[in-house]
Amino acid sequence: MSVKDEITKYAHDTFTSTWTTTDGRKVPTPESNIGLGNVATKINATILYADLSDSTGLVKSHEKAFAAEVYKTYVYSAAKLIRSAGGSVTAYDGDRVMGVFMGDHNWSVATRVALKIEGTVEDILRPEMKQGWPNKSFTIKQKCGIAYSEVWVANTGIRGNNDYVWVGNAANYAAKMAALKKSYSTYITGAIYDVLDDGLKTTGTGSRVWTDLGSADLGFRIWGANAHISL
Amino acid sequence: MTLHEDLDAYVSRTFGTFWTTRNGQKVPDSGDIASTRNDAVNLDAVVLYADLRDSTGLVRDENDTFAAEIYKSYIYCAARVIENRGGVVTAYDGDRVMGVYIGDAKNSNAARAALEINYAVKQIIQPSLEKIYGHKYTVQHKVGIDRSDLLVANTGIRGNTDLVWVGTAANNAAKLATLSLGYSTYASEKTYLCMNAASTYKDSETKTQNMWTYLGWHHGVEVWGSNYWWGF
Repeated sequence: MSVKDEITKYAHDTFTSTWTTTDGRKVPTPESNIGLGNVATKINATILYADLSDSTGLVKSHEKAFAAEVYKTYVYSAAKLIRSAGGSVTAYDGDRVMGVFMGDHNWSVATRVALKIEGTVEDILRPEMKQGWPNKSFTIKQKCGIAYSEVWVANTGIRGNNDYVWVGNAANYAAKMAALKKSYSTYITGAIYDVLDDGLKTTGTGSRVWTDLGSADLGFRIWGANAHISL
Repeated sequence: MTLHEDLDAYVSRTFGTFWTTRNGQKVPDSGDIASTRNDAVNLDAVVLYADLRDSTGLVRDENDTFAAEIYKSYIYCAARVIENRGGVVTAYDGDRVMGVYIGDAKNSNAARAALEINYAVKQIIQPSLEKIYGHKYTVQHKVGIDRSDLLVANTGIRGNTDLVWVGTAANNAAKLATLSLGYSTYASEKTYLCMNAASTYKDSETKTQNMWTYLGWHHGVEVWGSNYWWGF
């Protein structure tokens, strides 16, 4: 079958078949074997995008070995922190990581992870980078975006049959927030802020963690924080 | 080992050790690069990003099933075309696909793949959609391509299968795929200048009817745009 025939058949089958959906109780994994037809697992989940800031400038202005060390350590740390809090690392694309959280208070769990990613950058990555590269003036910066919604997980079947698409507002909103340039390291939606655990709203000394940034940037309300949690 | 110790060890090892690098003869997969040390492969490569346009609006305003059908069709078509034209699908993240081309014809092949993805969208996906749904939605997408050296390293999250692609082409191709200048394909000047006649001109015999339009500098890159498609 030619590529044209194959693609045409795939598009035709996808647009004409009815969907079979099941409610997912946990984040689908490659072992979940979501079918290749119009089959989706529906989950209610919090999605976190963690994104290295200004990776373009990093790659353009520094040696590749240095840039690769920053990429590796950031992506590794973000992935570890997501997993150790019970989240799943579901997509991973160069300099950013996508994590999915389900279960009790998953919006607060994800937000705590974001603040820990920032803490790890400040407490571990920056000092270690300084030790390895004492003459570099570069400062590692990152941003996380967090949103909650129903998400449909379907399998496109490219690359070894386990390439899922995550279709839901949370995926798009989280990615867009992680790309904001409003000088905050963590962004959450208004919907998450409204239900966020009180412990994440104020610091130990009682000052407010989050700033209301309104809805002018993305069409929905967002809150930003520059706080961090140390490991 | 606590999480803190784990991260400390990984980070200090990564910043504190020298790299072993070699030139790649093929696009590496994770088995080719060690994740436990600073190991990397160098490539002279063209990176292609294919990105579904306005997926946020699609998901917000349309049914979940309809959005999922468009996501699936687009991702599948882009990935198949990239591979059919000799590229390797290297990353894949929601509504966009990354492909890498190496070898003598990498610029021409990536450009042709980009125009073929546009054909798949306009001549296969859209008609197929309209047969079922009528004229309710127009699928739009953008492809960005750029060339540079890439350093490919392995982070070793998720069962050792996660490569990072460090080079300006990866960043620029992703940025070009988000331009809104009225074209479906954007190529850097660096890539454009190395395309063969077939990927540059509609009539490659006489080298007339250039399929590409010069668009000046955007995001620090000199950009050419095309709205042509290439049938297959």
